[in-house]
Amino acid sequence: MGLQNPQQNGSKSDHGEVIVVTSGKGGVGKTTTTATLGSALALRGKRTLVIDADIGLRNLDVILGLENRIVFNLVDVAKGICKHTQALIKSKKNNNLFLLPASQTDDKDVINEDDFQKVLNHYRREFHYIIVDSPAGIEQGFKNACAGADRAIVVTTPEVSAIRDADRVIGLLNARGIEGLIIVNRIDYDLVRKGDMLSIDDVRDILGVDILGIIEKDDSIIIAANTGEPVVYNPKSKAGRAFERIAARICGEQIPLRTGHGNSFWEKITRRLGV
Amino acid sequence: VLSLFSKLFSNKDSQRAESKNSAKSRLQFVLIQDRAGLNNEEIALFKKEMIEVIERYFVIDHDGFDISYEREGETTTLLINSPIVTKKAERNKYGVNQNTQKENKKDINIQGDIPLKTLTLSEAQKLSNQVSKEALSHAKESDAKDNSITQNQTSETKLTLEVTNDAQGVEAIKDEVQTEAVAASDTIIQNSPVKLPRNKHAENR
Repeated sequence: MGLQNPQQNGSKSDHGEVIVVTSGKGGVGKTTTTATLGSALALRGKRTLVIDADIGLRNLDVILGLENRIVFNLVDVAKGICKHTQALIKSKKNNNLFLLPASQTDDKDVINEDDFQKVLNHYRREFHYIIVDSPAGIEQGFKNACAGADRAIVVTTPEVSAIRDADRVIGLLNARGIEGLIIVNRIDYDLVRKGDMLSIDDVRDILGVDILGIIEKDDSIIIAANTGEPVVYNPKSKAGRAFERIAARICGEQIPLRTGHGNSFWEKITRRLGV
Repeated sequence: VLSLFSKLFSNKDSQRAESKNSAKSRLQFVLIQDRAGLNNEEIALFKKEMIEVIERYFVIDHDGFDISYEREGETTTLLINSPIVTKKAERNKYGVNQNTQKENKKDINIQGDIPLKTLTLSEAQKLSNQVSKEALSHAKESDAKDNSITQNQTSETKLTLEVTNDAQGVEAIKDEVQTEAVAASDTIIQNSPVKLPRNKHAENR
């Protein structure tokens, strides 16, 4: 592809940083996070590759609206069926964003950690960031996705089952020497205020891990999934702004978390008025 | 007026039964099991045996006895919290009698109520080592060489046993021992490094 060595924050070496997005539990927003964060990083001018490691159940392509362009996939690259550059699909919306899709017909066990590392090594020098969308669960697919990761994003929702699984995954990541940071997805501050949803502080206390970002429950994410256009392209989306802040943090900017915990009188009044 | 408004809102909130508290306590329960890699039965046994050991030295409140696993960053700490009703007895300078280990708690001769503040560091460590030896034999992959004991100024009567995997934390607590050893106290924090059992367990699955 004839790319220069990327210069970037946060990485000690001249090659890009590999970030695995994982969760343990399914359906908490891993794929959406990967697609949206990848788009946000690309919009910041970072050359970004998103890899769908969910072999057999690929979805990152549809979330990015690239499903009709797939020719080769991750397994083809791993098995040497195609050149590593042939399998990449460039985003329609941003020249800095590329997708390496999963195979839809194979099984998760068709490649192992070594294969996955080799695939990563093809791309490391050509991208600032490589974001790997891990499958749910903690089996081979998860192990593959973690192979070669420099750090991890653990996506969770403020629910008992999701947090429990996140905790388990954090343990597995620690055992591999990978630092994990949390994205709390689908938080509903109305429910938090009523005491019917765990707060950001609760999640942080229970998991004992720092929070990288918070995504409020937001209908625009559903619309984005329908259209294949991640929320960062939607100027009205709160979630879009939240993902932009997360991307900035990944790039090393110090941006405080917005926890929606304001308890001042005026915040209460504005809430009351539904502003 | 403003604060009255604020009060009104917060009262409204606090009067409801909050389901998140239920979520929190249920989570904490399952996470103890997940992180420790122990099943229900093992935790019950661990709890029972811990109580037996602690009861050689203290009369404790069984209902308040609590075990939890806490993580901060990459450090996981086993916390054993036990409210003490009374301090049990003195055995030779409050240290550990050679026979103590064989003694059943009923056999312990209660000679007086010696407050913990009279403990010297070495005596405290002796006591600590004995309690921890048994405690740690239940924690897989434990490393008992860095036990320490410390005393905090507190009005509550509580025995807290901490097992952590962070050697630096142990040093910090040791320093505290020396500075606070003479302070009036009813709390013992026992701190000992333990290699994260959850990880090993997790790997094996």
